[in-house]
Amino acid sequence: MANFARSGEMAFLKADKINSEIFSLTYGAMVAQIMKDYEDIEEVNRQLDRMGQNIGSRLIDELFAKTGIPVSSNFMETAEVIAKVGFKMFLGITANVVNPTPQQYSLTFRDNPMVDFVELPDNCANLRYCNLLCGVIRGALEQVQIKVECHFVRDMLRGDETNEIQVRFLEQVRESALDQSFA
Amino acid sequence: MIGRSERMCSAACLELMHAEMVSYFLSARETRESAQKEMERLGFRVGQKLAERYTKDYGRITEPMEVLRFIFSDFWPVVFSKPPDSLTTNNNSLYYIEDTDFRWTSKISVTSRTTLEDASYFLTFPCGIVKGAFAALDVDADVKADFQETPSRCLFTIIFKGKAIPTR
Repeated sequence: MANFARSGEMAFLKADKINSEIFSLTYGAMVAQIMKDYEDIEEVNRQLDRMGQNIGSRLIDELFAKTGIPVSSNFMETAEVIAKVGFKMFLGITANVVNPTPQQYSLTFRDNPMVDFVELPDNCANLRYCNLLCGVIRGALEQVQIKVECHFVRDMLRGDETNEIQVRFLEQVRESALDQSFA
Repeated sequence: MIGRSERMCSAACLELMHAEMVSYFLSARETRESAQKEMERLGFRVGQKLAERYTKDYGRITEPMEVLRFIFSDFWPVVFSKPPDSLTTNNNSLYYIEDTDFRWTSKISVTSRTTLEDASYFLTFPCGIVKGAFAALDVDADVKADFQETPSRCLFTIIFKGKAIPTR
């Protein structure tokens, strides 16, 4: 586990970086626009998740390429890699793995550069502002043949004391089946 | 240097998110023109906010020429990850900022399926950012950008409207 933390630190040190406020302001502008486009807030959440999925499928390649961590399709092992390497090398923060079982685990984190300067208006109680992150995790794990369901169960923007993303194992996808779906 | 003490995140996150934004607008809008218009508007708001934040401890910049210098030497390196390569002008109202390794587009590969024209949609949001930064500093400017043969070489054209830049 210490190794993962170190790999994450090293990868973050070496990465091309930008001020995170450019990222958070850009993300905020995009969320606001999607909210204008869709009246249904659940549809906004879905759009953010879908965008995240595409991003995650690209980020995981970078994670493996930059850290040399071996590709693993073991669900429980992915928790630490996401929490200590993925979160660190891309967002500069780390998450904690809570209650890992072969069926599900939670990732908790308090610090989150995505929400700097964000104040949610009153009329969007059901908005999962950072739902992009769920999509990123889902998209990344899909690349290692693991299908998961992923959602926010606690959200500091909505008054919770921490952020918690729950990742639930659905199935292991056989590589041949994946190949077929891309054929 | 402005924004030096701010916290950082990986540039890859921003690049990929920007790419998702571009594809969202191109598929959600009926015409490419309206997609571009909205991306520029979004960039404008982001650029405005960034410039406001970055100039808050800076003293007041009033002269358009100072604003241009601020955008070129202070704002650009922070927002676009590296200093631009050159600033040139052909007359009093047209200025060119050249960036030969523009990080927001330098990873796009132009193939038979992705043309340079497709790639040009990736310049709309950054143009909006620059335009918004000028606006935040009370300079009314139009900003356009073109690729110079490859998606990493970009030439931004700044067209001053209203307040003319005095020649020195």
